[in-house]
Amino acid sequence: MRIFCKYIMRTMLEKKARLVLLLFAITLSTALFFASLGLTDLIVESVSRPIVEKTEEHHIRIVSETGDSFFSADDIVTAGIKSHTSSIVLPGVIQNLDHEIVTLHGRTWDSLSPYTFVDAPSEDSFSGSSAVISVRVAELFSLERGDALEVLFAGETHTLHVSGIVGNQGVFYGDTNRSFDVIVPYGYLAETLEVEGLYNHVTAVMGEDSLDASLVLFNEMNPDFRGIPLYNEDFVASMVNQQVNALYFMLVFIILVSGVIIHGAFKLIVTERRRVIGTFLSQGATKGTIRGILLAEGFVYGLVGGAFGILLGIGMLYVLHDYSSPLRAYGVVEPFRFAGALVVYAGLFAIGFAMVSALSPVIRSVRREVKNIILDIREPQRKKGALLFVLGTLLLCGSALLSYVSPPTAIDYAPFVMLSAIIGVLMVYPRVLDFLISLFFRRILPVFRLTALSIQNVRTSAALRGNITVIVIAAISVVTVVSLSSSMVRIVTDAFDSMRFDIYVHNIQTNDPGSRRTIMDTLREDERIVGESLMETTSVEGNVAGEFAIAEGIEPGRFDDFTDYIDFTHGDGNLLDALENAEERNTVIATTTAARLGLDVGSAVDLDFNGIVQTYTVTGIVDVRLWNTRDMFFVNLANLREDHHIDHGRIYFDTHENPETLVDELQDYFRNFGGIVQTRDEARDINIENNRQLSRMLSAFSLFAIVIGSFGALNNMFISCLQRKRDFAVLESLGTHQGQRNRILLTESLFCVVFALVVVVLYGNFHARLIGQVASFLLLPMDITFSLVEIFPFLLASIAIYTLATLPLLVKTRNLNVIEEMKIE
Amino acid sequence: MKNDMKKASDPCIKVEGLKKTFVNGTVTVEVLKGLDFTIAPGEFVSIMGPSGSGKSTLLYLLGALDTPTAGTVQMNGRNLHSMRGREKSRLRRTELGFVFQFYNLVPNLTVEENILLPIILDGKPLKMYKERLDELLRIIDMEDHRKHTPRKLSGGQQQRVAVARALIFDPGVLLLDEPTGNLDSKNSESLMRLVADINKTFGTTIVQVTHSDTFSTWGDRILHLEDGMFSD
Repeated sequence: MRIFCKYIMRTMLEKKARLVLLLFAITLSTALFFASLGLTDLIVESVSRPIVEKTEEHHIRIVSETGDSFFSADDIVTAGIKSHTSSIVLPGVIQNLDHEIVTLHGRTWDSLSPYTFVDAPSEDSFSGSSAVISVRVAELFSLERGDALEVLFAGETHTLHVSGIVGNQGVFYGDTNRSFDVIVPYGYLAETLEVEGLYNHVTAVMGEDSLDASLVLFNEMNPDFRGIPLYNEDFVASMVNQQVNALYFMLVFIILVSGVIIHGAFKLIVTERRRVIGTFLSQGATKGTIRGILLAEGFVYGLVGGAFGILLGIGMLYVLHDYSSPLRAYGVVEPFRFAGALVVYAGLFAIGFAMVSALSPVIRSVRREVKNIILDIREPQRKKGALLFVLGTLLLCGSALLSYVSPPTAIDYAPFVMLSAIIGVLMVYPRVLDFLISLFFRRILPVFRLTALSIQNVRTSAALRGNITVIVIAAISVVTVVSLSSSMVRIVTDAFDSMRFDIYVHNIQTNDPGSRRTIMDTLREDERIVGESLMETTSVEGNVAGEFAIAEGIEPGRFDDFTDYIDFTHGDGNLLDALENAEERNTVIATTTAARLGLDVGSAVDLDFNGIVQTYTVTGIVDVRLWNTRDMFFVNLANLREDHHIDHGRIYFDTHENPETLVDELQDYFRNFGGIVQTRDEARDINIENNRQLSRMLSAFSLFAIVIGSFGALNNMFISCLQRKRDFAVLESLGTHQGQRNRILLTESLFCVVFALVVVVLYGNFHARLIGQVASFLLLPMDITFSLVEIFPFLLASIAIYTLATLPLLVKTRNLNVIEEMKIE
Repeated sequence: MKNDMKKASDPCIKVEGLKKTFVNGTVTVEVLKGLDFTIAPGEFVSIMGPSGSGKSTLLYLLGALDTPTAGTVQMNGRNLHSMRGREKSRLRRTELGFVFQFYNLVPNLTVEENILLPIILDGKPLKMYKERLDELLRIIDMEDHRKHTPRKLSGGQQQRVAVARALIFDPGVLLLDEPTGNLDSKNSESLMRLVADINKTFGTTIVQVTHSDTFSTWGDRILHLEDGMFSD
């Protein structure tokens, strides 16, 4: 056993370049597998942690069942909860700094006990218009005790005085230079708002083992109140999952490319060791022993590559963790953690992946007669090309049939349909290649002799055809990313082009109806603004049937004219007409939402927004395309304001003047409310940039596929060259010089890459359709188009990369020893 | 002691109606055309013949490394080609020794590891064969090279190691495929002397394929093969 292990280690270390290639492929695949697996938890943790801190580790928000924003907390029965904190929470904007957005917390002195003050203020100093801020804010703005803060809230500017500075904990945890929290005495805010004894923000720590059990018990015992989850990690997870699923999808390409490479490398191992294998067999080794030794080698590659991959994966996760920490700029990075099970999964994946990829060459290694293995005599094999061609054609046709004839079914099984199509392409092309070369070889031989010989080599060398496979997979991954990215940009551009507005205001930090009316009156009175074009909408996140959902509050009579992006036409009428009368509480929902929640026209549905549940009737179902990819409910804006007490929103309008000039001027006004003013072009560009983050991540995967692929191609070239050393020696003995040999090798590479790219270009349009269906499967329904112009630079880059990968081979074959190669046989 | 040694009167190897045909596309080549012969225990037989006469094919069939198209090869009364794969492997490990023209040593293993390879493959404790290893190293005069890898050895040395490897299990039969084909005359003679000594000392049955008229006479009998048939 010891000698076997020693033998395996020696053979592994013998070929350093191959060792590196195999470890590289396994390491990268494992690392990406590990990182993709850990990403969801990581992002959820990164996003959740500051929220958990900010909520002071409370789990439940308590709202009044009457729907009143301000209510008394005296009658709350503490069943299902341990303790609760009552406060008034208001948004505001700082006037005397740089219009930072603040959240004011009206609290009692007792509720500040968990906070650590950097000085030692007394209860007496926490009175009147005093304010407690964090150390971070004090340092960022050079504030000291006694300094004044001019804060606009409840429609007026108020002067607060810093009376205490505390550590960056609790509600202050997420303070930044753009927005931060301030605690003021409850009495001061209550008096200012004339709501003494009432609160609008009551939170509690759960009292039972689970949040659900706590909520059930609390709600049973408190008929006048309702407990709702303060923060639901599932919401964040569901948002993150879309991106992670896309990464998993791209991971398939990496695994495919790496699998082909490991397969190729083991083919090379088997080719190189044919004499040793034969010797082992001649000395009485069973075929099982040989397979066992080779698979043990695969196991060790998997083990070592897996260990490196896990380390690299941890590194990747760490960088992503650091990058995704919202407070990184302030030196606050959450503790880096990952589930220990990930290491086990990734380790098993690496070992399994390496062994499965190696399986086929290992099994074939001892299929021949022992004598033929020893003497490397190739036995005539039954040609499988025709069978593969038929199977591949069936897979391709089956995928196409499903995709074009039954798109809903194709979407349900989209990843499998796409995988079938890709495998189909990989099975079909060798026969097509064979046919084309046999058709043209004799014709081009008299004119382009070396080119003809090179192309004929590609036809007969399984290793070179393996190269085409690697390049096809890598190029398909590129086509996927490029098509997806460009389609995303086009969709966002189309969406913005379909909206009729010049200027857009969002992020307004007030939920006060008075402030909103003031803003709208100001805009109406502005002569530069087209009064009748002013339109408001509101997007709010909530909960429907236990799932994360979005309500889009719109002005039904205006919205259809505002955008053509969604087609609300229904027969002779319009679906939005049913929303006109707010008292009827109607909603138009997204097609995907209807399917997922089992809703139909006429269904009653409880919409829980801002902690207030109201029953609505579904009056229409519409394809919202990519307006929003979550469960989506269009309601009358008035319903959100009156029934759910949501008074913030976005404002769109046209102008008689240059929008860019007006935006600069309006920005000063809206800064008082924390609002952001943008032209349509700016809003579109920002939206495109946000979408590009996903495509950048996918591009990274695609790049990995190309890089691994080029290494794999080089490996295949070596296999092919090794297998044809004697042929080269014969050619050399017949007078072929090194330059001609180099030309043959380069032409082979070039032909492989060009042929592979032609295959991908021909398959491109169908693939684009399949990407669209996979995108729909991932809840990002979009039409993907294949554009040769957009792909072209990548095609050129691929040709350059794969041609460059041939150079080491040219160097390696420079000193071909003709006598040695002829003699060995 | 020879493995499964039978009575001296029984043939060690018995070949009946042995045929081997190669098919390459539409071309069929009959390499062996129905051979019948026996080899007695302890006999030293040389097979000679021109290129393509089927010498090596015959040797590979005797060594259970190839499968006949028709006919049987019996070793100590057992039909080699009706054996299952594992039985054949066991036979090759323990009852047969095979020496190739190009030595076929495992480059990553040392001399002693190469010699012990059949034991390693058999899974027997290596300690049990330490004395046998030392004896063989002494016989082939490679005691000082036991830790060397094959690439540090000359052709003659490598071939001696290959012979020692073939003998580690003390097999009854040693098959040699042009053992001197890649050696100079001095090394060739030295190797053949070693083989002849083994034949005499251990009573090992030896079958060699050779082109050399000189070394073919070192055995007890010469079989001339021509066009897949024995000639007188």
